[in-house]
Amino acid sequence: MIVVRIKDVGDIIKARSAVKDVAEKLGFGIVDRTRISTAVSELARNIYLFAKEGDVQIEELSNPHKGIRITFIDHGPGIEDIDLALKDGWSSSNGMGKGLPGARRLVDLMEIESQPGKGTTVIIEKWLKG
Amino acid sequence: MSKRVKDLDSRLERLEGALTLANTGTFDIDVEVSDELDFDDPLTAVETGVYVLINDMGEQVMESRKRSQELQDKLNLIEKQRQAIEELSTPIIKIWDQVLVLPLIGTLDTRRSQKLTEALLTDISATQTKVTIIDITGVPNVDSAVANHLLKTVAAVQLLGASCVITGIRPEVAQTIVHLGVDLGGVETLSNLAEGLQWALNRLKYRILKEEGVQ
Amino acid sequence: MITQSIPILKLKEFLLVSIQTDLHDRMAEQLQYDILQHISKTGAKGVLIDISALEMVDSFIGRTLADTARMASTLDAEIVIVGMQPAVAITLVELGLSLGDVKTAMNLDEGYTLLVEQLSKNGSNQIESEEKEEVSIDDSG
Ligand SMILES: Nc1ncnc2c1ncn2[C@@H]1O[C@H](COP(=O)(O)OP(=O)(O)OP(=O)(O)O)[C@@H](O)[C@H]1O
Ligand SMILES: [Mg+2]
Repeated sequence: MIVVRIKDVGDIIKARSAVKDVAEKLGFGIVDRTRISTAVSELARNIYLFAKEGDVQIEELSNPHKGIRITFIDHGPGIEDIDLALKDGWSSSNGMGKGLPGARRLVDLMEIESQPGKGTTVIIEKWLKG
Repeated sequence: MSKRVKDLDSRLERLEGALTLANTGTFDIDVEVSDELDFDDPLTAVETGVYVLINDMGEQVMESRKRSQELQDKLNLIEKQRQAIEELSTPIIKIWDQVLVLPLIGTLDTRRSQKLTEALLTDISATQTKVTIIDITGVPNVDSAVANHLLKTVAAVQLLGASCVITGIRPEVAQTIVHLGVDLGGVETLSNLAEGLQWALNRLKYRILKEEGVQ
Repeated sequence: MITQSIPILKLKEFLLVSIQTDLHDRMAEQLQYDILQHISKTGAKGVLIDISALEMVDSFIGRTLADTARMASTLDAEIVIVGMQPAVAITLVELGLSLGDVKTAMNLDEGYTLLVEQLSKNGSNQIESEEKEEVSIDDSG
């Protein structure tokens, strides 16, 4: 498992390039690689913006799907209403509210766990299709 | 008068073991029970019956596993062929300098639409083609999902800096699109391929003239 | 962290920006600022932004590009995004982002032609851009 620590804007680039390398090694095509690194960029930026710091963990998946799993963990303010946060266009800051819903459209699985005041964990998976 | 039963405990234990294994789906047991069959022994008949039954069940299970594997292989083959047909049925044709046509035939689900878009964009980018005509005459049901797929494809083509027109909009399709409230605004649509070609040539600043007074 | 700056070149009457590195948020903001400064200093009426080397455009970069185009147009300059990669375009659409009315072109040549056409359409320039070709089709058989 590879871990990239997010503390600075530049770390967002580090996270997506680390993910891109793993995705390439696993055999994802160019479009899927771009989908994955774009989703990572959105979720890593959310850590940077809303929680200030956190970790991005990158793992290979083998069962039941071959693919990649990326976990975003922070101990920031948490998300009050996850359904609302997943709505296209909803943002608590002056963002476009495209990050979470957009990232979800780019991957095969996305799970969010969040406790207000405690932090947020977002898991995404992209599977290799035959 | 009761008959003697040899090694009762160990044989019962073996029977129980075999039944438990069979219960969990393992049927390959050592059928050989004792060195010589003693038919005076009342347990022998039971043992023989149970072991033969288990053995038969094992064979049947093997057989049905083989069958279902064969079936699965056939399903896989059908799926592969379906994909091959889909790919064959969606050629990207260069019909003029700087003009591509994508004649869509059949249904358009998310996966197919993604594959098509990828193939189309790769082609446009590699050949630097300016105009693409997507003809949907052969798409039977244009519901809101299909319309949305088409809109995405057109948007992606435009991001590359190329233009795109959708042709082959049948009257029923025009009706459904409006009934479903799908917004095709911003997307060029024309009723047939010929008009699409005309549009493409206009866009490329070609003018087609019929020669008059040919000798 | 040092913020590298992206060079802005003059291409005849226009500006040319070629993004050759992966952009982070601060670089994108800096680039927006630099482009607007250059437009205002040079009076350029058009900017070509070549993003053919960009491997991804996320919501931040997308929004920054779209905003820059809108801001430039208030300074009377047109922006054309040139050379977006197919995978980037597909992902951007799936992400749900639209670049608004930002003009796009497949390559620098076409981007340049587009700017010239736009200028002559706006009447602020007399550049001749009509290059009609004629094709005759013999339909006698
Ligand atoms: N890691 C997080 N910690 C706390 N809140 C979060 C986190 N991620 C997302 N949120 C909340 O969910 C909202 C929606 O997130 P999303 O990424 O979709 O939009 P945004 O970041 O506001 O705008 P955009 O990503 O389009 O620039 C955010 O405005 C924020 O309130
Ligand atoms: Mg966000």
